[in-house]
Amino acid sequence: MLNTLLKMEFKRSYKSFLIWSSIMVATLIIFTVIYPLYADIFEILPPQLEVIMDAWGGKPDNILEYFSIETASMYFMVGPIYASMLGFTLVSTFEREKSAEVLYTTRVDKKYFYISKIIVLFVLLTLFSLINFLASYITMLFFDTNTEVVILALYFLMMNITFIVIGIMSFTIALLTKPGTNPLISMTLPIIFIIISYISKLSDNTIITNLKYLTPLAFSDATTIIMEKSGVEWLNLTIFTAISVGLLIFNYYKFQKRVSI
Amino acid sequence: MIKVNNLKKYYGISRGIEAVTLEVKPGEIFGFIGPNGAGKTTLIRILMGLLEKDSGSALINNQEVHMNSYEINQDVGYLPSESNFFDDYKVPDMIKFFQDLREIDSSYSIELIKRLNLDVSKKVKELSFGNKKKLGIVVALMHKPKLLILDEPTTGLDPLAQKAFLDLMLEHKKLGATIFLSSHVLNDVQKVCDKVSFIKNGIVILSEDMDTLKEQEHKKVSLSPIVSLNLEGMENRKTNSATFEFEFHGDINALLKELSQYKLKDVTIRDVTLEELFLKYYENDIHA
Repeated sequence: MLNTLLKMEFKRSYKSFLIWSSIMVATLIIFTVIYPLYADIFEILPPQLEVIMDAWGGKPDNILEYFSIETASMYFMVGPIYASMLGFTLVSTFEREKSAEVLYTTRVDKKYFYISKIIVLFVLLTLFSLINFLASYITMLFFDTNTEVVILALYFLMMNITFIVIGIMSFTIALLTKPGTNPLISMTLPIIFIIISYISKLSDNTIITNLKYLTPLAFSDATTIIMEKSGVEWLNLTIFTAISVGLLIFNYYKFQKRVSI
Repeated sequence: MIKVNNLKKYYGISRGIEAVTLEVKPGEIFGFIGPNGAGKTTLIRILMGLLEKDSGSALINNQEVHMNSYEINQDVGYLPSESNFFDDYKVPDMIKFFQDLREIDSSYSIELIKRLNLDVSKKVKELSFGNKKKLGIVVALMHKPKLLILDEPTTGLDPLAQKAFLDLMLEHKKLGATIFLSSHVLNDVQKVCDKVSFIKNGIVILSEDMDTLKEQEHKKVSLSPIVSLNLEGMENRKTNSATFEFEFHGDINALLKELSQYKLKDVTIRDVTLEELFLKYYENDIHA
């Protein structure tokens, strides 16, 4: 029964997965292959601009550091939006197309529908991260065969957890909104996180800098992990992981009691 | 099979159902009749575990229904008033999905597809309203459930599909199924139902066996040419250019004996139709 539901959920999600993955992979590759051009520009960068660059991690010395400053910023913006859309549509699609009325009156307990949706969320977001990691790493190898794969993998792993956290939060938002709500509303969540994250980098003020801890983007920050090699913000990671586990339990009960018609 | 007692459901301040009480016995085909907004779909959705009731009780097989009552739905087939499936699926894939979900083989589904003449070459999004309804019927019947709950099952079907559907209902009844259906097509209800309930403004105002209903009600009589007739039990006399019509509540033998004294070209004596009964019960609403 769960297999049937999983097959159906994957079949219905793979097209959007392929589209988002293709766009993301293409973007990452394009940003990576223009590294030599950027390297030349960095050589002649005026001192005033170097000060601005310091706010975003400083001047990159190699392709991996360049990735953390430039390429990762695209991943940081597009990935969370895909995660939020996926989380929301896993709840809302049946309701918008009104197939929920037939599906949720079969002999299948709604908890199996919930489990299948959560598995799809975890698997697709992990595949998304894996594909983008491989595409980025392989492209970087053309320019620098000594690229540190472990540190790059750590960054993509942390981003993957960020995506899953955002996906679960969007799933919750879908459960708290009325059936038929436009999935685009879920994009507000990552956009707010991204804006807060950017604001936190604009000043040295402690309060403003600490705003980043309000988002699950702090523990997956590319400059912190790759450029500064400061490791992962474990406290931020732990808090958002705990919130996600709490939301998974909340969603489990909320999903079964939700009026989907 | 289904027992509903004083069931009430409001959506905020707007009424879904006010006080519904009815009983559907095993093996019966039960027609649930009412105008739009009377509360038919609300009752059906509560029975299917899609909505939570406010008060009262609703039982299927002596088990109280509730949200996500999947254990009660094991042997229930459900057809909503609008059949919606996955637009991106082909029809055979959609049917296979439900077969897999119910862990049944395809033999009866294939028979249903043939009998309803369902177009299986298209994607769901390319189906007409009527073909989507046929797909809904296949999905509801494919596992030969003991209880069928059908909301407006014949709406949108062509006459051939309607006949095929009504034949299927009678066959499932023979197999021991209980069928609860709401419909606006009162002619269909009259053809197959053993019992009917009328719902008005969220309240069941009549629940009766079809046979009893017919016996209690009058006959419609139409005579041509016009004759001067006066018998006990004649009401609502109407004279057209060539025919004389009236309702007759009295002894049918007395009527026949009286009619035999006239030289008539045409005589029609028939039971009142369900549609006429419906109009009788709801005409105040219609005029309002």
